Amino acid sequence: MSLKPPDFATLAEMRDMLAAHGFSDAELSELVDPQLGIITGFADVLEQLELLRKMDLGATPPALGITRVKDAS
Amino acid sequence: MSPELIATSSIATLSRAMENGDTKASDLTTACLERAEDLNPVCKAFTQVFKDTATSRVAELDHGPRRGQLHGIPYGVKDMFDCRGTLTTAGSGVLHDNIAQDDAHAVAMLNNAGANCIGKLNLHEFAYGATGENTLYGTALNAYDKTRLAGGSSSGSAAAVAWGLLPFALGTDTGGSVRAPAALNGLVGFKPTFGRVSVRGVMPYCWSLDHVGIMTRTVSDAALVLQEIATPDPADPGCARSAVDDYVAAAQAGDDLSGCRIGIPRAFFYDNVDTEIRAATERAIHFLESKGATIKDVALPEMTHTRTVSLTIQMPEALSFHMPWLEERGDLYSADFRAGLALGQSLLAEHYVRAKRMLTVYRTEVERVFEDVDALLTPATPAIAPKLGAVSVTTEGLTEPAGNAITRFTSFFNMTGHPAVTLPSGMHSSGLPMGVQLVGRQFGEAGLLRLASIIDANPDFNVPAASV
Repeated sequence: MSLKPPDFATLAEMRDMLAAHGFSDAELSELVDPQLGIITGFADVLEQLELLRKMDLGATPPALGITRVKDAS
Repeated sequence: MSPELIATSSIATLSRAMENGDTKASDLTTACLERAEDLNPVCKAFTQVFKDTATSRVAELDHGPRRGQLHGIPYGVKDMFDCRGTLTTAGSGVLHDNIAQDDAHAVAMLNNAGANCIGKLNLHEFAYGATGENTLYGTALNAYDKTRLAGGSSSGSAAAVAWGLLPFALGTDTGGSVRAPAALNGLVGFKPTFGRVSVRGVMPYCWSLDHVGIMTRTVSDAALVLQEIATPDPADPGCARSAVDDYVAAAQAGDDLSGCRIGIPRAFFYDNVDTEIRAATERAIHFLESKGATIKDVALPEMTHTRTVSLTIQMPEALSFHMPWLEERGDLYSADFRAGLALGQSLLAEHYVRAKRMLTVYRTEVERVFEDVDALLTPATPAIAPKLGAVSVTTEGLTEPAGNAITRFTSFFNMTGHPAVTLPSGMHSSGLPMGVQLVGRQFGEAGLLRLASIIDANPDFNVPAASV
């Protein structure tokens, strides 16, 4: 299933329904149609995240700190 | 020593001169302060200069007992580090009244070792971005070409050392923000293992990826600084408690590389690289081979999604940290950072957790590679320093945002947490420095410094001090 691209109305509704920061309409529009050149388009990020979601990670846990092996034994 | 010589000397040279009575802490601090006064209006390295406190401390340093090789050496810190009683602005107007209550752990360790902090250094606002552009303090300029970026986000740290205002500086490295600007300015940039150096007292950008880093003129100098700041910090729950190796000795351990295996990750790290940078990297490989190292190609994890994974961790963590200030003084943030934070708000919790699980996958796969090799070698950056205002960079057919290009080869090792160092590999025909990156095993800082010091000792790879 291909994802529907994010639109302004949905993002605005999420903003208004969740206990989230009140980013302006212009800032939410930047996510839908990026102009600042810093953030990759949100739609591209979501597409890549969808590909990652389909990867079988088994029981792999989230990364935590790194332990020095010779000191951990 | 003349002020000109002080401006280009290594810590080791300055320290020897102090020990021999050829210079004093007061001479070094005065030379650095005067140079900062002359050049900072152009190079934009400092956000604040501690003229009074730095000057008042030299009497104690000149007349007190010598505490080691950093005694009397001036330094600066990226304006993400707390220095007690002074502003920590993170390069942003948001924190115009944020007075630090205490020194960051790394600052306290350096001050205890007798180093003299003479100021705070410029950066990309809140360390968000690799170009180092800053509308509030100005954009730090590359020491070799004033029409080009110093690079970031630790732009002021790189500019201060490369312009000869300081012999060393601290920065933070979340995706290459120490290593990349160091490489673009002909310096050594060192990022230790995740957790090796305490981040207490350092403004967070992304807890999962932030590292304290070091910029110096030589690898031996990086070892000297690391030796002090790697001291375990019981007050930082993420800081390693394990013993600190002798990094200074490791950086002077000779150049016989018999038995050393160096992995070359050809895929991704050697693709779409400037031809001169690639050739310089190949020369470094052949040089290490000539010293007895075994060179072998290795395969790192698939890199297609790594930038998305990094971004998916960065932005929700940054948003979580900044939420209180966003509410109180949100209009003082720059538009680009706010856009990034808005992205962080729009991702799902499952996206974030999956990205954190991908870190485990990356770490595990790279650890497997390190079963067969002792270090990895890549170019530091795919291209020389971009022009001021450049939105994108095209390298061997690949066009990408300037910030992505600057950190293309460094950001992966923030996710895996492996220690990494960039150092010069020679001069590009355009007159700008090129660099290579070495990556070591987790907590393998000593071995990494030894390897880097061997390249650093070969004049074929050194770059001349910038003529500013």
